[in-house]
Formats: sequence, structure tokens, C-alpha cells
Amino acid sequence: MSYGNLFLYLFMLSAFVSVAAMLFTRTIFFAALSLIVCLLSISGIFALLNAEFLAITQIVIYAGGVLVLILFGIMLTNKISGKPLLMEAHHSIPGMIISIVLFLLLVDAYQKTSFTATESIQLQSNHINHIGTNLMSTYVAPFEVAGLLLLVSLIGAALMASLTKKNNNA
Amino acid sequence: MTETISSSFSLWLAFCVLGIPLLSALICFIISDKVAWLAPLFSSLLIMTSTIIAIILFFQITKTGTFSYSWPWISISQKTIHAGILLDSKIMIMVLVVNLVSLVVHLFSISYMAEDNALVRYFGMLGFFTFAMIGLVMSSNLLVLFCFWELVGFSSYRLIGHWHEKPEAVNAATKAFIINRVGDLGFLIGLMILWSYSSNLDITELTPNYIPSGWLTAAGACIFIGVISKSAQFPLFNWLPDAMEGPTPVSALIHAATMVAAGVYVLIRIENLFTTEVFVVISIVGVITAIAGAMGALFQYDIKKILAYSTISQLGYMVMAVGSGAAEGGYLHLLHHAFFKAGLFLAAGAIIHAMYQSYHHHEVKIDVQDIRNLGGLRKKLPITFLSFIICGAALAGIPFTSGFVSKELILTQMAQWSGIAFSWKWFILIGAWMVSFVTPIYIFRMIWFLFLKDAKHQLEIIEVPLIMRIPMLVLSLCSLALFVTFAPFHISSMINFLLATFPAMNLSITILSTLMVVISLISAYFIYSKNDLHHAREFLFPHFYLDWIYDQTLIIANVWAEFVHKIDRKVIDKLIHGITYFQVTVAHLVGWTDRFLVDGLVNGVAYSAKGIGTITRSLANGKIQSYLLWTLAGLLIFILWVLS
Amino acid sequence: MPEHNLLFFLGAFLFSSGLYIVFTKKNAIMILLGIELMLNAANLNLVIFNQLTTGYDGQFFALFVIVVAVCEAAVGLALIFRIYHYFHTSVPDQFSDLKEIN
Repeated sequence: MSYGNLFLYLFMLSAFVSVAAMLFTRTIFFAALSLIVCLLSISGIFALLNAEFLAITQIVIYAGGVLVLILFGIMLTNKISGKPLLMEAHHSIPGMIISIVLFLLLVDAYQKTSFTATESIQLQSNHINHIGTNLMSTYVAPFEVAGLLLLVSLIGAALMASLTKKNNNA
Repeated sequence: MTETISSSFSLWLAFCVLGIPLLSALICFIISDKVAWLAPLFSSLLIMTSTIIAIILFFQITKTGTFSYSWPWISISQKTIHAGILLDSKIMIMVLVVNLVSLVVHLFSISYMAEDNALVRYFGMLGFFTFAMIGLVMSSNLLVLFCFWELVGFSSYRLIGHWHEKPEAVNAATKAFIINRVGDLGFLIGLMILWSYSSNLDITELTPNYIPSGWLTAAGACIFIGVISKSAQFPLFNWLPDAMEGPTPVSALIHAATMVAAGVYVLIRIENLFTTEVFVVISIVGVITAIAGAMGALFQYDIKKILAYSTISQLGYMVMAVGSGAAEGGYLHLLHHAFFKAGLFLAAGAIIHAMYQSYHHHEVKIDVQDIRNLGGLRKKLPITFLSFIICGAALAGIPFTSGFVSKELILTQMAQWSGIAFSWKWFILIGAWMVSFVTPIYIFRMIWFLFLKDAKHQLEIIEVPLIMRIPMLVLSLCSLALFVTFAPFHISSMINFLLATFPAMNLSITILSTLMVVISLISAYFIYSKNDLHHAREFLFPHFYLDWIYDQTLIIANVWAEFVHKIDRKVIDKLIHGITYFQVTVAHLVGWTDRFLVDGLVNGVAYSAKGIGTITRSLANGKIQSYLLWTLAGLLIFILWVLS
Repeated sequence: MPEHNLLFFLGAFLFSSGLYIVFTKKNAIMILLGIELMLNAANLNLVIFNQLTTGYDGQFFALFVIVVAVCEAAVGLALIFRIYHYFHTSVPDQFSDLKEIN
């Protein structure tokens, strides 16, 4: 238990540090890399919170899929513009004020809410088994809808990207 | 047991009456353009069915008494809004009238719109309008009523802009829509006030008991704003004459008989919510509208515009009646007005149709709606002439017609309301009498120009087909007093039905109003029979009176002038010099103040407005991120405000 | 459990940082990253809540959030490409067509 706690704190620290790096870096590539680190540490936190399946999904989809996609995107746009992608910031002061206010608001909400912890699924062991069964029985409708959504967005994204090329050629 | 059976029978019938027009609209929307000729047939048959069912329901309701049925619609934390149907004999008459007018308009449209290329859309919207109007009349909850109120406005918008290739029609439709939105805002605010104080919008359960009187007045005034825009009352009536760009049968159904009367209907339904102050406002607005509409009708030359102004005037009359304690008279007038005004509009439509046909053959370009171009139609369109005369007589309030009965009821009730002692109520009463004096004049003017005067043109005009004649005849039959009561001078048989307590007949009012109509008609005859146009103005200021007054004034003035001249020399000149010096001094003073104080203030206001404008404009700079930022900032401020 | 409190702080921090990135960074891809960050913050909270209750509802919700996030990222990137080819920039300030419609 104490090891688990130690790892939890470690992951939280790394998530925090990587997000802070994201806030202050000016290179977009570095920002994307630190987002990967952040997402990986979040997946670690998931694993420690009895959500192993979610942790694996997070690694496979985010770190393996989305972020690679984004990196490709950065490099592609980079190549066309021909200079390294630096980003500038604007609205820093109002943005900061609003973000801090929102942070304080959220923390305040957490403080005010009393969470009554029920000792429940920590005792069970085969979470993944359970999730698999439920996914095919109780949650089958959202599951199918999610599949449909993926298909639609896949076709849509492919269509949009290909249309661009055609227009360029013509 | 029998009671439940009969009540479920009523429920089914009510749903049929409500659903069949909707079904007609749906059929029209799914029907293919190739078989568009089926649409008029189907929808007319369906509306006929629904009318027959409405008649059955009417007798059922008169037998069983008030019927209501409701089910929960929206529940928000223990507060429930019920959607429901409320039917009593008073409401059922309105349902019947809507159905009947809709039916005759459908029949009339079959021929009138035969050459239109958007038949399906037209009949679909007619059916939809009928559905929405019946829903409005039947619903027992103000929120549901508001929904139907919006639907009615929407179908009116679609139908005004039916010929959307004409820019005037599109503009008129947009105008009607936007002006109605203003009123709807008022209506909605009124509903919100009522809801926040009583948590209940059922018309029958809504009582003014729990609501502070200030807020009740505000709610009543807000709802009345909705009525002002829907029923084309004084500040917001200018959309109705423009709405005449729509097809004429639509004007008959929506902008004369039913939709514009919906405002008056709502006023009568929630009459118990209004405070005295609101009633004062209602009666004043009503009387101003009635007079303004009548004056407008007197000077227009377009057939449909005259009828539109006349509608405004009559609606004002009803609103005034509701505001001055003659709600029952107003309601009766609403029903009668639905028949005779729809009849007038259909007759006007028949004239336009016939003229258009004949012009079409002779390839002459004249404005067929201008009454100056028409005339001598009495021989050529006898049936139209007959129905126009009957409906016009009803509008003018000539005895033995329905209009006479309701007008007299209104005047009787208003006389009771205003009392014998002189007060501001007398002005309202005088206004009412004025309107009933002017109304026969303008309707006579129309008949004179259209039918009696010799025609300027030599065209062959053929009477309209049978399918157009029958609706006109039905409506003129309904405008006869025989149809509504068996004793034209004794308003009892039908009204007993509507009224619990019937006001005592006042013989003097009967005689006076009859006399008034006669005088008005005679004067109208002398004005218009001599020559044509500008005599209308001369009637208002008869020139012989004015000349006489001018002469007398001049004689007296000459004597006075001698006298005044002497005084002028000796006294006034000196006085004037003194005053002039004083004025110059003051003028300098004022000029200085103006330049430094007032101009400075004005410029300062302008500069600050410009500055604020620059600041607000910089927020809308087209950058999506700053939009997002300020949106969230607003949201956060709202959340913080709610939390604190 | 004391660490829950800390985890909530982390979630709030991730969310506000994502929002800050969305507001301030002048690059469309960066905005997309910020949105991903916010979605992950929400996911983190869902998993914590799942820990505090019986059943697996929170985890399932997080799972579907991930799916939607994937779709959003794919479509968003495709949009950015298209905008990039049209305006030759991925800085949202420079495609302020919203302003031109007057």
C-alpha cells in the first residue's frame, strides 16, 4: 500500500511538472512531448486507482494514437511553412485570471463536497473481466454508438484531408 | 360509468378536431408535386370532416357541460406544467367558427388558387394554421396556448409570404413576423411573472389572489403587449395592412377572422387576471385603434387595404369592449366579425379573381385592387354583390344582421359601465359611437365604388365559379341575424347561451344606434353619389359651414382691428420695446449657456458613447479565442454571482 | 483517503491549464492539445469518483470520453490541415473571417 502511494505521488508530480512545462514552453513540439508525458502519468494514476483497463486504453489510444497523429500534424505543417513552429501567446493576463478563478472555484467545490467513500470495488480483483462483460451487456448501446461515431469521424477526417489535396492539385 | 364513457368520447372527438387539420397538413407535405391537384381535394375533405366532428362535439359539450382533460407535460422540481384541453360551450363556439371559416376558405381556395404552382405548400400551411388555431382555442394552459400562439404566427408568416417571388410579400411577411416577435416577448415576460408568483399557468386555476397587485398589473400589461401585436392594436398595427400581400383567402381566414382575433380571445379568457389599471390601458388603446382604423379605411383605395383597416378598427372595437366591461359583447362581436369580415374578404377575392381573369384575356394592365378602376359590378357579379351587401350591412351594424346585435350588446354594456356621471369613461363611449358612425360610411363608399358607380372600362366580366360562390353565400347567411338569434331586436336566444347574466335591454340605445346608421348612410350617399374622390374630406369639414364661420370671423375681426389698432400705438409699442430689450439680454445669456453647458454635455455624451463603443467593439474582433475568453468570463461571473 | 484530495487538485490544475492554453496560445494545434488536456482532467475526476462509489459507471464514462476525444482529435486535425492549406497559417488570429460578416 505504501509503495502504491509512493508511485501515486510520483505520477502526480510528473503530471504536474509536464503540464507546467507545457504552459511555459514556446516550442510546440516540446509541448506535445510533455503532453505525452502527462498522459502517460495519468494512465499510471488510472492503473493505481483500480482502472487498469482504462490505463491501457489511455496508453494505446492517447500516447500511441492521438499524440502520434498530432506530432505528425506538427511536422507536416512545419514542413510547409519551412520554419520551426514557435508559438506566441496573447490574452495572457485575462486568460490567467480566468484560469485561476476557475481553479479556485473547482477547488472550492471539492472542499465543500463531502465524499463518503464506500469500500467497494477495491476488494474485487478481476476488474477487466467485469468491464468486458458489462461492455457487451449493460453498455452495449453506447458501445455501438461510439463505434459508429468513430467510423463517421474516420470517414469525415479522411474526406476533409483528401479534399485539400485535390484542391491544391487543381 | 356513463359519465366516463361520455367524457372519453368527448376527448376522442376533441383530438379528432385537433388532429385532422394537422393530418391534412402532413398529407400535403408528403404529397408529391406531380399529384398536387389532390391536395386541395384532400384537405378540403379533411377539414369538412373535422367541422362535422366539431359540430358533434359541440352538441356533446352542451349536453354534458364543461369538459376538461389534462396530463403532466413538464415537471421541474415538484412544479408541473399540465398540457390540457378545456372545452365549454363558449369555447366550442369559437372552435366551430374557426372550423367553419377554415372550411369555406378551403373551398374558396380550390378555385382561387387553381393556377398557383405551390398548391401543396399553400394547403399544407392552411391545414397547419387551422390546427394551430384550434389548439390555441382549446388549450387550458397558458404556456401551451403560447406555443400554439407562436405556431399561428409562424403559419401566418409563411402564408403572407406565399408568393415569395414578390419582394413586397417577403417584406410584409418579415414585417409581420418581427412585429409579432415584439409582442411575443411581452407575452412571455407576462407568463414568467405569473409563473414566478403562482407556479401555475392553468387558465382555470390561475387566480390573482397570490400575486401582488403591482406585479399583476405588470403581467397584465405585458400580456396585453402580446395582444397588441397579434391583434394589430394601436402602436403595432401597421403590419396588418401590409399582410394583405398574401393570397386573399388567407387574408380572410387569418388576417380577418381568426388569428388576429386570437388576441381578443386571450384577453377574454384571462379577463379575471387584469387589474383596473390594465383595463384602463386596454380600453384606451382599443378606442384609439378603432378610430384610427376607421379613418384609415375611409381614405384607402385598395380593396384589401380598406378591409384591413376596417379589421383593425373592428379589432380595436372588440379590445375596447373587453376593456370597458363589455367582454361578452366583445366575444359575440368577435364571432360575428369572423363571419362577415371573412365574407367581405372572400367577396373582394372574388372581385379580384373575376377582374384578373378578364384583364388577363384583354391584356390590359391596371391595378385590379384599386377601387377607382372598378365599378358597375352589380350586374356582372350579382352573387358577389349580394354577399358583399349582406356582409357589409353586418359590418355597418344595420338591423337584422349579426353585427347589429353584437354592436348593440357592446354599446349597452358600455353604457352601464360608464354610468351617468361624467368621467373619462365618457370619452371611450363617445369614441365607440364615433366608430359606429364612421363604419357605415366607409363600407358604403366601398360598395358605391365597386358596384353602384358606372364602370370606367368596357370589359367582359364573368361571375366567379360555383365553388367560390357557395363559401360567400354561406358566410353571408351566417352574418344574418336570423342565424344567430330569432328575434333581431331582442338579443337573447344565442346570447343566453354565452352569458350568465344578460344586461337589460335599453330601448333608447337600440333606437339611437339605428338612427345613427341611417344618418350615416344617408350622408355617405350624398358624399359619394355626387362625384368621386375628394368629397370624403369635405364631409369631415363641410365647406359651407367653414365659409360661414370664416365670414363671420372676418366681420368681427374688422371691428376689433380698429379698436386694437388704437391700443396698439399707445400701449403695446412701448411695452414691446421693453420686452425686446429684456429678450436680447436673455438671449445672450441663453446663447452662452447653450454653447458651453449644453454643447459640452452633448459632446461629452457623444464622446463617452464612442469610447464605450470602441471598447465593446474590440471584444467582437473576429478572433475566436477572445470570443471564447469573454464568454467564459461571463459564465464565471454568473457562477460566482449564483454561488455568493 | 488523503490522496483523493490531492488528486482533485491535480484534476483542477490540469483543467485550468488546458483552458489557459486554449485561450492564450496562438496556434491551432496547441488549442487542440489544450482540449485534450481538459478532457483528461475530466477523465481523471471520473475515475476518482468511480473509486468512491460502487460499480464501474465512472470508468465506462471515462472510456467513452476517450473515444469521443479520439474522434474530436481526428476531425480537429483534419480541419486544421484544411484551414492551413486555405490560409497558409495555423494561427487562428489570422483567419478572422468571423469579423468580416457585417
